[in-house]
Amino acid sequence: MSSNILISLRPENVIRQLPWRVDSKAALGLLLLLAMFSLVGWLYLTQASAVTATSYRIDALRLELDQIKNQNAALTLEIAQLEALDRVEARARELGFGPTTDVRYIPVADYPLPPEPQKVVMGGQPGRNSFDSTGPEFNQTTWWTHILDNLAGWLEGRE
Amino acid sequence: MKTSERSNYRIITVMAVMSAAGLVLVGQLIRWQVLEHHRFAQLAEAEHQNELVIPPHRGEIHDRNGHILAADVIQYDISASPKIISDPYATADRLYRLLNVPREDLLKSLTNDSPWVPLAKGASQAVGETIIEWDIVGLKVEPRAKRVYPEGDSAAHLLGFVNSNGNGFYGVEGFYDDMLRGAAGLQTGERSPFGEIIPLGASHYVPPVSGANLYLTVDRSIQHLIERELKSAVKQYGAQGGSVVVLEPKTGAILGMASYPTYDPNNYGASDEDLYFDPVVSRQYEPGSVFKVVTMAAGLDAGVVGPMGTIYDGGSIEVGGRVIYNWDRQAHETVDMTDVLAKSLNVGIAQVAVALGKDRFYTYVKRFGFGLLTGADLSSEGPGTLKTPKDADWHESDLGTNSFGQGIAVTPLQISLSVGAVANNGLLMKPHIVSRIVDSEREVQVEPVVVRRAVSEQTAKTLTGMLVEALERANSEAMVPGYDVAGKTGTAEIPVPGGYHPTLTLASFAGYLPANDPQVLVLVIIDRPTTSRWGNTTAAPTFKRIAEQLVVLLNIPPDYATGEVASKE
Repeated sequence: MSSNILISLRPENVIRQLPWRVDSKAALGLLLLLAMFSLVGWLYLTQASAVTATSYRIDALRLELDQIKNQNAALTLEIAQLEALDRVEARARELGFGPTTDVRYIPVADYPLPPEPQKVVMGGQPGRNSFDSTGPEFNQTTWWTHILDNLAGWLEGRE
Repeated sequence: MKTSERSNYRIITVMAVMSAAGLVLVGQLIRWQVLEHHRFAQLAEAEHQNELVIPPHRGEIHDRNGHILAADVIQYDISASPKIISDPYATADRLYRLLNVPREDLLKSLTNDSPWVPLAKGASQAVGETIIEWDIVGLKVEPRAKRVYPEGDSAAHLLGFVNSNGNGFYGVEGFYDDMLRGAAGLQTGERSPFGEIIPLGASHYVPPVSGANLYLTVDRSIQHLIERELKSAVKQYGAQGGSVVVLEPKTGAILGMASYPTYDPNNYGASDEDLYFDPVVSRQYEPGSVFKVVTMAAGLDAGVVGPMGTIYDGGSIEVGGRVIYNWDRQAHETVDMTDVLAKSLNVGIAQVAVALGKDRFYTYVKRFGFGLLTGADLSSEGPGTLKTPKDADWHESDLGTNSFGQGIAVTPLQISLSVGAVANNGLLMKPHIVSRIVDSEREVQVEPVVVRRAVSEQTAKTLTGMLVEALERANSEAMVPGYDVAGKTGTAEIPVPGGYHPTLTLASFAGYLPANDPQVLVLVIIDRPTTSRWGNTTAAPTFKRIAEQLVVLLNIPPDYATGEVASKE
C-alpha cells in the first residue's frame, strides 16, 4: 500500500491525475460558454444601467417641469397681486387721477341704430292693467263683473 | 463496554444531536419560508416599497374678464433627520441665512437626538428650490400648496377660503370644492435607504389631475366699486354693516356681491368665525317695504287692482285682529296704487293682500321664490322663513303684516331675484356666480335658467312703470339723472324678543335701470343706520352713487339724450 501511495505522489503521476486536467476541446468549450454568459451578463447590466439612468433623468425632468410650472404660477400670481384694484387705485391717485363723474353722451344725428326694445306704455289703452283713469275701482263686485265681462267677450270672439 | 462499542455509541450520540439540531434548523426554515412566507413578504414589501401621493393643483378662480381672484402658490416645509446629516455645522452655516433663523437655534435642531426635526414651515419657492439644488443628505423639502387671494379682502364672502388641508369652505371655494380640488396622483416603487423611489424595478406612476378653473360672472371692477361705496355708506350713516347685490335681471348672473364687515381670506384664522358666513345668502331679515313690490305684482297679476285703481286710506286697517298703521301714522284718504308705492302705505298694500286672499297671496309669494332656496352656486345658502296658512303658527294677521314685508324673513339674494323677476318681464331667474368651468378636457358654459314665470309680462311692465312713477312722485334720492330707475325703498323694523326694536331699522333699496330695458339690478341694505333710520335717506342715495358709476362701467347710455346733437359727418 505504501508503495502505491509513493507511486501516486510522483510528480508525473500527480499531474496526470489532477482532477482539473481536462481535454483541450472541452476547455475551449468551457471558455466559450463563459464568454457567452459574460456577454449576456454585460448586455443585461448595460441595459439595466441605461434604464436606471434614464429613469432617474425622467424623474429629474419631471421635478424640473413641476418647478417651472410652480414658478410660472408664482409669477402669474405676482402679476395678479400687482394688478389688484386697491393697489392700482392707490397708485392712480398718487399720480393725480380720480374717478370720473362728469360723463357726457352726445347723440349723433342720423346714426344707424339697432331697433329699439319695446318700451313700457304709459297711459292710453283701457284695460285691466292700464293707467287709464277709468280703470276698475277697488271693489270686489266690480272685479267679478270685470272678469265675467272679459270671459263673455272672449267666448263671443271679441278682441 | 469495549472501546469500539463506546466509540460507536459516542459517534451515534453526536450524530443524533447534530441531526436533531439540523432538523430544528430545517423546521425553522420551513416555518419562515413556507408557512409564514406571506407575512414576511408583506413586511419586506412595506420596508422597501414606497407609495408617494402627488397632490394635485387646485383650480384657479377668475372674474368674468379673466383676472385671478384665487390661485395656489407652492411653499415648502423644511425638515431634517439629524442622525443622517454628515456635517451639521456646515449645514447650519448654509441654511440659517436662507431660512432667516438664528444659527444657534438651527444648530441645536441639527444636532438633536430626535430622528426628525422641523426646521421651517411655509418657506418661499426660491428658498425651497435652492435647498433642493444643494441636495444635502438628511434634509427634506416638502412642497405644500397655499391658497392666495391677490385682491385681498375683496369678494371674500363670495369666494370663501381654503384651509391648510386644502379643503374649501363657504362661497365658491366651498360649493365647488370637489371640482376645484382635482385628483391626486400616485407614484409607487421600491425606495432607497433615503426614501427616494428607485426607478428600476416594479414601479407605477399615475399623474395628478389638476382641478378645474372657474370663471365667475363677477366683474372685479364692479365688486371693488360696491365694496368701496358700501364701506363708505356704513361709515357715513353710522351703521353696523350692510350688503350690496348687483345682478343682471335677464340672466340671473351675479355681477357683484359685497357685505361689510368682511375678512381677509388670506388670513381667515385671524377673523371671527361669524364673518365667514355670507349675509347675502345666509342671513335672513325682514325686508320691509321693498316687499310691497311682490304684493303689488300679485295684486296686478290677479286683477284685484289696476295701476290707477284707488283705495281709501283711513290711516289704519284691522287684519286678523291686528291693527296696521302707515309708517307716518297718517291717513292719506283716496290714493291710487302708484301712490301706495310712492308713499309706501302699509294700509293700502294690506288692502291689496286682503283682496287677494290668503291662498292667492301666498301662492304668489312662493312663485317669487320665497321660503325656498334660490339654487345659487354658493355654499351655506338659507331659504329664509315663510309662514303660510298651512303652518300651525300662522295667523290671519300675518296676511296683513306680510304684505309689507313684516313677519316674513328673506335673504338679500331672494329679494333681489324677486324684484329682478319684475325687471325681467315676469320671469324668475336662477342666480349663478360661475359662468364657465374649464378643465384639461373640456370647457362648460353655464347657461341662464328660468325658474318659473312669477307674473305675466304685462303685469311686470305695468309695475315697472308704476315703480318709475313712484320714485318720481316721491322725489326719491335714488333717481339717477338721465335714466329711468324703477325701485322701492324699505325701512324694516328689527325683531327683538317681545316685539320690535323701537329705533333701529334695516334700511334698504332695490332698483333697476334702465326701466325700459333693465341691464342691472342693485339691492342696497344698510344695517342699523344711526344718522337716519329711513331707507330713502341712507340706502337710496347709496344706490344712486353706485348706479351712477355702474352705468359708466357697463357702458349703459342714458334714456334721455343730454348735450348738443352732433352730426355723423
